[in-house]
Amino acid sequence: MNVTTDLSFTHLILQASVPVQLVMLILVLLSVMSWYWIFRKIFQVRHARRRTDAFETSFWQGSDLETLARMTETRLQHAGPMELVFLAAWREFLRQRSRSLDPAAELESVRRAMRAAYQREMDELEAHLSFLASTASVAPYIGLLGTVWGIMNSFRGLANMTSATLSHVAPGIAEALIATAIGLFAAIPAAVAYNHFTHDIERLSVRIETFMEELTNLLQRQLR
Amino acid sequence: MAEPFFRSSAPSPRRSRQGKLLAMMLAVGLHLLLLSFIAFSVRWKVGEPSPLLVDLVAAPQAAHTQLAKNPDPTPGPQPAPKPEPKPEPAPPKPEPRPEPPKPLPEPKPEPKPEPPKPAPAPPPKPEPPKAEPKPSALEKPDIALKEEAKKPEPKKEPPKEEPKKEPPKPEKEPPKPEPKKPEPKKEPPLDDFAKLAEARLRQQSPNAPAQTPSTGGAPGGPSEQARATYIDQIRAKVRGNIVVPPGVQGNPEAVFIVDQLPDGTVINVRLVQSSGNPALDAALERAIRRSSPLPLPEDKRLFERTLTLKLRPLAQ
Repeated sequence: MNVTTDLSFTHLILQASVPVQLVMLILVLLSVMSWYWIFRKIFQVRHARRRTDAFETSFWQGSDLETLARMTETRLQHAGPMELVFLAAWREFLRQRSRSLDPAAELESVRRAMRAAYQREMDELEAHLSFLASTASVAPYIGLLGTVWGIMNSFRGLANMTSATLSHVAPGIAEALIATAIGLFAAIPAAVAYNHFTHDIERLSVRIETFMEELTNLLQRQLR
Repeated sequence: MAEPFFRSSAPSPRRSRQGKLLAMMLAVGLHLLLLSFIAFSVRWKVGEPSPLLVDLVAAPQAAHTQLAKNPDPTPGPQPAPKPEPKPEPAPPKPEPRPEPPKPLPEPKPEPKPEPPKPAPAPPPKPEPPKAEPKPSALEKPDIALKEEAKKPEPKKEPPKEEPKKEPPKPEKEPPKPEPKKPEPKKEPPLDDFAKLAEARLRQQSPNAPAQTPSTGGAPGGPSEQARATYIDQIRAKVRGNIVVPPGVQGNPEAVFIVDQLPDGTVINVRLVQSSGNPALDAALERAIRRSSPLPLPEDKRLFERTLTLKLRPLAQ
């Protein structure tokens, strides 16, 4: 009986004890969620980068700031972070100019508006990256917990047998090790994706910050 | 003042809502794909169950086929041949010998009057005579057996050849005793013949005293069958504990030397002759150890502290 056991993946999972199955379920959910967020972030970061590229080229082609702002407002739903920062700065600039305060204070409020928009966009981009980070660090431990539990079980079962052979322990250990496998399967993509996204978002944020400085200079020139 | 400011500065348009559904579908689809791939293409199945089942079902058939192929390897009869060959070679010894002495005494009638001398001679030479007749006895039966194996029918030929070979032996033998004891030049052949006769007598009449030291625990012929049954009992018990490892081809035999206590407790198991499969050897050794109180023989004389056990994983 023991020798003829089916060691296929599904069989091992179905044969596992309840705690191990619970751990496997948690890990599978973690994996699905982390992959969901990986895909979401892929789309989001790719969109942000594309829009930023497009906006930067059109901005430095010397087009009028007013038309640029109008163009951005027409398709607000698909605007990138840099466009939104620019739009916030432009709106604040118009509002301050209509009141005609002193240029230094005006520029300062424009900078604040830009900073706020920038922070909002960065927060949007970095949202749920912490989920990927914690999945990457915690999933192996959860899997290990399931494995340890499963091995404990299989050894406890072994103690009840008079003649102990490897074929009695092997299925239990195999099914326990699957928990670690699933944990690693959830953790590795999450870790890779987390590092990738943080790097991408960091580069985007540097680009937007430099753009903010340049826009400040531009608006300052217009105020004089 | 404040109201338009707040309204205008909160234009947070959250786009990429459509990405949610797509991401969810992609994540779930990826997992389903991977799961199906693992479940259907990666099969970690133990491939051994089928050969094991075949072994269990077809064990008698396999035994029969083996019997048909070569009748020897049966473990049951095998213990018997072991003790038997020793008595068997003995008969050939007396057969060729009675003949050679007859031809030899004829050419040399002189030794006959001198028999009183061999009597005093043996005491001074207790060691060399034993050493001499044994090699001769060993050589002769070997030759005889070989010849018999080659030509079992012509039994008269070996005697003819043996007398030819024997004369040279006495010739060769005298030089050996000469350096040792140059005085009895004529006696050595006499001694040889006397010893041969003695050896023959020893083998013929008092079988037990002659064989017990050589064969150790095999006392006499009558208990041979009892010994076989005893060994069979041990073998049966051991066989019940054998867990045949996967990948064993056929029914190979391994020979173990088992040390046991008088109550049958196994002390030590040594592998003498491997079955060719180390895993099977280990399995057989484990089986011997597991059946530790080995069955005791009905006749206590049959008990041996060190048993030589030939084992096969399958019953015959």
